[in-house]
Amino acid sequence: MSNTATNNEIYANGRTYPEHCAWLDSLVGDEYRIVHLPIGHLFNLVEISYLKYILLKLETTAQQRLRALDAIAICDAGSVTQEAVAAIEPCCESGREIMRELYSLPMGEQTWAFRDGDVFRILSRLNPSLLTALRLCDRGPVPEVPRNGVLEAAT
Amino acid sequence: MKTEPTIAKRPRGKRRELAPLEPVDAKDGPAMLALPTDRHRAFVRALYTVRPGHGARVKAAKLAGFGTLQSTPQTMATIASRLSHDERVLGAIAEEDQKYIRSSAPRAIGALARLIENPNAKDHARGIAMVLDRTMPLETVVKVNHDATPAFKATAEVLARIAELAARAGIDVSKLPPMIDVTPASESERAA
Repeated sequence: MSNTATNNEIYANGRTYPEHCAWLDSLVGDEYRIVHLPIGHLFNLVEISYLKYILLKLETTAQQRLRALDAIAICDAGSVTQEAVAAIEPCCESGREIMRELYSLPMGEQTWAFRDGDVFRILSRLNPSLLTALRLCDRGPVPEVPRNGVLEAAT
Repeated sequence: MKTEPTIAKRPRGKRRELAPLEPVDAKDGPAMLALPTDRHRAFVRALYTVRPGHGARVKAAKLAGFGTLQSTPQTMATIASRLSHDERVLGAIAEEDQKYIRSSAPRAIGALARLIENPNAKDHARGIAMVLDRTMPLETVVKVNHDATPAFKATAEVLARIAELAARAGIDVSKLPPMIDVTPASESERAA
């Protein structure tokens, strides 16, 4: 069986292949960044906000503090820059509850929850500094206008 | 005339019936039984009988009845490769490995017994040591004191590392709540 999707088959998230391509081309700004940043990095950004909450709101031992800061330090890799990590503010109480729910999932599913970007969108609404951090991530040029028209004009 | 005494024939009684023999076929383990077909089981068994080396898996696949007369060597190689990388087959191989090793133990013990009986053998002393290690193993007492209390030693180095990492993560150290085990000295205290 071929893996090639035909034009009428559902390709991803209820969209056919041409619809999916058109949707990807229509993404601009933060939506483009959310969709194109690997989900592991999205999870790391959210986790940093949770760790900062723990560090700034809870009394911890030196060992716990060092462990949390070490965990934040290793997130600064790949597309996630040090400026992006520094820009993240601690999460709020609602964000903390969401993170608790998230941590109750099995390890593999915790990151998988970010696959369609909805969890990140909700958390970034609660903590806008996540979007600021996303903008500081190194992801190359981000389109500011939909590319659908550009492609059609080129063809 | 003297006649030879005739041996009286024993009256033929009812023929004794032989006790039914116990089946000697080895019973397959759960992993072997979980294989989809007998051909898969035959493949796993053949792996232990064919000559090891290049082409052994292909030969085992052929012996197990995979492929046809028209199958090309490339086809057979593909079949053998797929079979030997199948999770179910791998599980069955692991199970058979255990069987072979366990059933070899009596022979190993016999060989060891012959080794320790022969004082001229090169590894005579080693054989004796092996037997003694298993009959009278040496006991070593290791005392480990593990301190699992939350009081982590907040040394100056640890505090400096915390301050460094916090600055890197964009966290103001002065805004951090007091630590449970130790509170770092404030700027004014340090200046005094």
